Amino acid sequence: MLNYNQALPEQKSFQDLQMKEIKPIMKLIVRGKKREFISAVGKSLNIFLPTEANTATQSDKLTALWLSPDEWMIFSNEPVDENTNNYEIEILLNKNISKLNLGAITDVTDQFVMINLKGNKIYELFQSGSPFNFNDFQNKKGAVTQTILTKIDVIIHNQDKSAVNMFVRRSFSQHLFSWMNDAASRL
Amino acid sequence: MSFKNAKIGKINCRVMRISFTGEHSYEINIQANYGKSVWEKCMEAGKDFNITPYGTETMHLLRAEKGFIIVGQDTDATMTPIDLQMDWIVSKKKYDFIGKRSLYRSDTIREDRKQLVGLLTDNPNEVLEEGAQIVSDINKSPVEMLGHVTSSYYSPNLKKSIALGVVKGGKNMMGQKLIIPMEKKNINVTVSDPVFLDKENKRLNA
Repeated sequence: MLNYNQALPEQKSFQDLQMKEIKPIMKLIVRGKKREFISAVGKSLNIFLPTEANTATQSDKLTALWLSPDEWMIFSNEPVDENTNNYEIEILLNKNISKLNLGAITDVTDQFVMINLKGNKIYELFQSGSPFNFNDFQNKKGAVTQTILTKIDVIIHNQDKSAVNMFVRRSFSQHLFSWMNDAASRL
Repeated sequence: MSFKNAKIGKINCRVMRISFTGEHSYEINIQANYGKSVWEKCMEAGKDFNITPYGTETMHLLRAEKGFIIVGQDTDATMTPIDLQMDWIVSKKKYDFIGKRSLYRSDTIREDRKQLVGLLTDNPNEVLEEGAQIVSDINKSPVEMLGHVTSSYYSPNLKKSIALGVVKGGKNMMGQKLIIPMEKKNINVTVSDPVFLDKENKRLNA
């Protein structure tokens, strides 16, 4: 049996700000342009892919983030079993999307690390290292943006008031988390 | 050059029969969070067989002994598979493919194009400098540059210096003597096959 090694084993807590990796979260990139693609994903997963730019939709089990007019990230709301990487949802989409040539499904579960941030100082932290204007973003539940934080590409999802999910490439995650820890200690 | 989808425990992975070192080898492709564990299991399983990890410098040396190129180091954007003596990799059966027209233009099939060759120094302990120019006649004015050294190492397996280089018309120059003019001396080399070791692929298919 193989052991699971998460990218960010440490959790960080500051006054009004907590940061930790949520793992293992299943993450899929789905791409397609055809109308049948959107409806096939909807029927397969019981979730509507958001068509408005920089927004998200959610079902009981999944969240879908808009990334571009023909690209979405779908991730599980709850951690999945770390002893297997056989994801039923990926298998289902491969069957209903890929094999019918409606679009492409790519498993990016370990390519991206999901960092969950909670507290009232989330946006103060972001403002210290990102050029993005978070004024409207922070008041819009479900808002999504792709920006840079301390020069590193990130996808940020406004989960709820004072709760944000941030996705970063695994190879940059430790450096980013170390910077976040340093920046948060100075807020 | 084949692959198979497999499972280690309950974890899906992909095993490739692929070699960049010229030896019988495999690559295991698995999700990043299980990578460390796969490495530890392989090292544990190989303990009885004296398993040894090796780094990129070793890998570069091993691939040069076998004449495997590094794209961008042994080639530039002007080179074709024919220049690299790798025309076996291009399908002769396909009616068309991207690049086919370029591959058979009059300029790309010239006999005197720069082609990949091996270089052996007369002094087996003398290692050439990568990037050094290659000439045939040092007294000609101006000195005509025939090509340059692209990779150079001392091979512990062969106990001599080996190098890869690109030389104008090199394919038809096997055994010919050439000169590498350096700052303080000229180094004499002999053009050879770029595959220095295991030409019969015995190690590769062991």
